[in-house]
Amino acid sequence: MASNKSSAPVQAPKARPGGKPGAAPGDLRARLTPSRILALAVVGAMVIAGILIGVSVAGSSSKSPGPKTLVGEIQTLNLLSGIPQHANALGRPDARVTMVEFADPACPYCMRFAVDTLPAIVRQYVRPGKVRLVYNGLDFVGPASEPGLRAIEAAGAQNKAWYLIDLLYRNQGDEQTNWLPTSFLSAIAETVPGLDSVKLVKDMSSSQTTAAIRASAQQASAAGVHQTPTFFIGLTGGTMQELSVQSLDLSAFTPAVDRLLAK
Amino acid sequence: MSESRLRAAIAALALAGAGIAAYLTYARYSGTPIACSTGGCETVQHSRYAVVAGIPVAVIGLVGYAALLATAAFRGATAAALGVGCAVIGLAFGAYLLVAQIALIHAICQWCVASDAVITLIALAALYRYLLTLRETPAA
Repeated sequence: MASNKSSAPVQAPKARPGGKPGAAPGDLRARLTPSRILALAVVGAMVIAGILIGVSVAGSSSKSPGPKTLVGEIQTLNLLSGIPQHANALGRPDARVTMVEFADPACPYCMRFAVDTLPAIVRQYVRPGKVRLVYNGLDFVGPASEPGLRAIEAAGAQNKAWYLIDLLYRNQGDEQTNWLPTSFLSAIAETVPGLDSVKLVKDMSSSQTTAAIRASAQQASAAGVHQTPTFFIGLTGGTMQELSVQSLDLSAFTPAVDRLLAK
Repeated sequence: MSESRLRAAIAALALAGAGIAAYLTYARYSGTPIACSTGGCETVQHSRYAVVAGIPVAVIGLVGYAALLATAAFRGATAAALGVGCAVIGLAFGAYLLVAQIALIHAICQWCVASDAVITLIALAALYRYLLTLRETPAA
């Protein structure tokens, strides 16, 4: 016996405008037409891109002191390990050429030189023993300048100044903020092999550190240094001449260094 | 051009972009100096714009290119639309980072610019692919 159900005419459901024919009105798949999928994808993409940009802008304009995470430890160790350091000098004491940099730990252009150009100079000239670098620190740019410079001088007392110089530049914050609280400084110092971070923090306020900073400022004044970074170069033990550079690229430094090495 | 050829082109471009992102990720975590002819790569990589919520931008790029590769692996309008979506995210964020390099960091990273070029080409290809899939979809 045939049932009434099986003999009843079956009517295909009508498609909604823009929907797939043959689908139920409430069917989600029917509503997802190609144009709607594109609209959803683009709107979703704009939302995700907006969130990414928003988080980036919020993170970059944050006035909190210092970056939350330390970066560059591996780069610094790779760059400097095995090169002799004495106080604020990097390289062999008997290197033929000495280059002196007057710089401020909070100066953005000094940071650019440190991360973009210095590594090539170290690999090409300092590590082979041809050039010795001397860091003469100044502290006039911003609130982080003085603690940064005190830390560098204190690290110099342990013959580890250049590890700290390199790490400070790799982690430099906004020049108008104190991005270098003691906690962050200790965190940086603790990554340097052989550096006593407790002694470093203690030595930062010592009279020797204050005297070293004063001596550096006097040298800068006597040499007519009005901006950072400023470079002087000459044969080790000889007279230093100011190296006027048009840019902070490696090519701005190599001719003068090569000329002195050829003498 | 057929959809399959466009998918292959998108996949090839996504692989190129993933290669750039993988290189920058490797350099960041290994401490290897970045090969750079523009002189600003390290400055950009060490700027605060190189990290979003603690995640390096290179890693975000790697994930993005992997997602684009996945959209190229499937046929049809849905995959094509998702490809457009992923490309729009990359394009918008890449443009933001380019502006940051020029106006805020004052340094240019050649790898970032190369990635911007790749994502622009992917966005164009993904949009064309989507329009093509619409045309190839049989009318009801």
